[in-house]
Amino acid sequence: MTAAPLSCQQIAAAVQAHERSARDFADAAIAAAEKHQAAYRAFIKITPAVARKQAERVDRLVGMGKKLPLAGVPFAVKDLFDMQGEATTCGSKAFADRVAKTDAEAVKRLLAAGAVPIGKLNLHECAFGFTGENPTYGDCKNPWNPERIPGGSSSGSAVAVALGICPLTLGSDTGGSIRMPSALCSVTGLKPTYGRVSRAGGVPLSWSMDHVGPLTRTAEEAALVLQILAGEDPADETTLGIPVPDYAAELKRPLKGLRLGVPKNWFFADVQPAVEKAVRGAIDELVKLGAKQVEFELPHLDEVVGAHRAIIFSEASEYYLPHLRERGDKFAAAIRPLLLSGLFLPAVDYLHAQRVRRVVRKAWAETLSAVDCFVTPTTPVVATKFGQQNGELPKGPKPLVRAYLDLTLPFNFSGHPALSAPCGFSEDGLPIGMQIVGKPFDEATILRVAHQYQQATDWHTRLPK
Amino acid sequence: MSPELKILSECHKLRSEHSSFNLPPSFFPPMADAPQLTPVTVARLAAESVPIKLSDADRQAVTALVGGLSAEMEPMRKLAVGEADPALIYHASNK
Repeated sequence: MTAAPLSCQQIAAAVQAHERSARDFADAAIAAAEKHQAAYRAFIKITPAVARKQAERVDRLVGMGKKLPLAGVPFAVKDLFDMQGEATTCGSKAFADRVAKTDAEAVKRLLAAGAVPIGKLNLHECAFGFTGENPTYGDCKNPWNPERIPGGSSSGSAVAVALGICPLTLGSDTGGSIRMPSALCSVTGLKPTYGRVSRAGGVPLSWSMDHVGPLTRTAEEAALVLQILAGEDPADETTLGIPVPDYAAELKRPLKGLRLGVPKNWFFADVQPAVEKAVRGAIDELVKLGAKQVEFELPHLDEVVGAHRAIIFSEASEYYLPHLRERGDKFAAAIRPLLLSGLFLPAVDYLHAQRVRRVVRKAWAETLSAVDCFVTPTTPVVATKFGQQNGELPKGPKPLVRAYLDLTLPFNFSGHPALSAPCGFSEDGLPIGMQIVGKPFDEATILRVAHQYQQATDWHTRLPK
Repeated sequence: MSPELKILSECHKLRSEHSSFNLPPSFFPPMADAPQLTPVTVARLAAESVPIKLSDADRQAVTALVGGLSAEMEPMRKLAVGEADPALIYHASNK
């Protein structure tokens, strides 16, 4: 990797100013995608014809004087979002021939803004996992060390941005699937508030915990993209009635006086030393920038893990039941039991989990009234090796599902917006991410915190060798 | 040995014997004092209740996985929720 990749804003400005064509950027992105595909398997399908058609359309519109906020910006989508005319495989043989009739709502909005789709990205099958291993389409590899997992389930989404193939990808997050691979691959990943971005046209894993969001290099780009994605969609009732602020306008507001929460429990309880050092270093940097550190304890986290399990397994099984009956043998052997297990959980467990949700929401609203946002590690471990079963933590080995997701899944359960931003590296060069969590529908604050941090530091500019 | 302990032991044994589930051990956290299904129960539920055909391998894997999930859900089950509605309540509409 050589020169720093151009940002979404830089590409759009260059196309809008007729300095370079959208077609030119599309060709370069496709060439980069093809160059890295064998080594890193970021894509399930690269779509040059689709890209060139949209790029030529964008060039015509720009030539006619139209202003497009993402003019010519190459992007790719996790292959559980529909792109018209292309298969939405969910990373599975079971859906290899499932061709989308229309674009997902998030894809439609990006296309309308002038962005150019270059392909469908690899993922952990059916989004029900967090390593990026995929027996059907090949394992996605971490650009910082290909012997390590990139994280998941939005594995290709993180890898494509980390490699500089395209500055923007779309991911989904039900337990950490945008934030966790973002942390492991050193990119910025945003899980907005539940209901901020339409889920329409994406294959669900868990309806009440699925979130759609962008992966980019910087918070500034994430803010631009969120501006385009956010807002009402009648096809997704959860989006109705919530006004969309001007995210870019808020970015430059200084952090002076911001109440920055740092939890005393759970999130720092058992964390690799390098991760703790990097995240606490980031907190110190934010305090230097004017934020005021406020310690607090977030209650009921043990219960939240169990409630998340009850909901995700029940909802996934309900969605996948007809597919399991019709073509169960087409799902990977490691995924099929996960999709089946919800069928054997009592309905009362699911309903109790949904009642716990109300209790937790109220308790957290009260606790978080003392802060504007708070910071935690995104994951307590850096990227593990393929085949590794446990994360190595100070209090002893922990199963990966707990090691990787315990710090992120609470905010899928509660719906709070959460962003992962690069904040350092381990001694052996593996990325570390910090998670910034905000109040519901206050993405502006977490984007501002991340942006101000990224103006003062350069972790997010580093590139894999 | 009590019937409950016997069931727990059988489940532990199944997990250690059937590592060819292709499911990583990281999905099977330690057992706790929580209700546990047996493979026989899973087979009957699959055949009589769901219904869905399950291979032997899937039946074993699901039994172990549901056992692990049950253990993780126990704190959640014990959390008092008072009169809270489930977070599923919707607004009636003509749309």
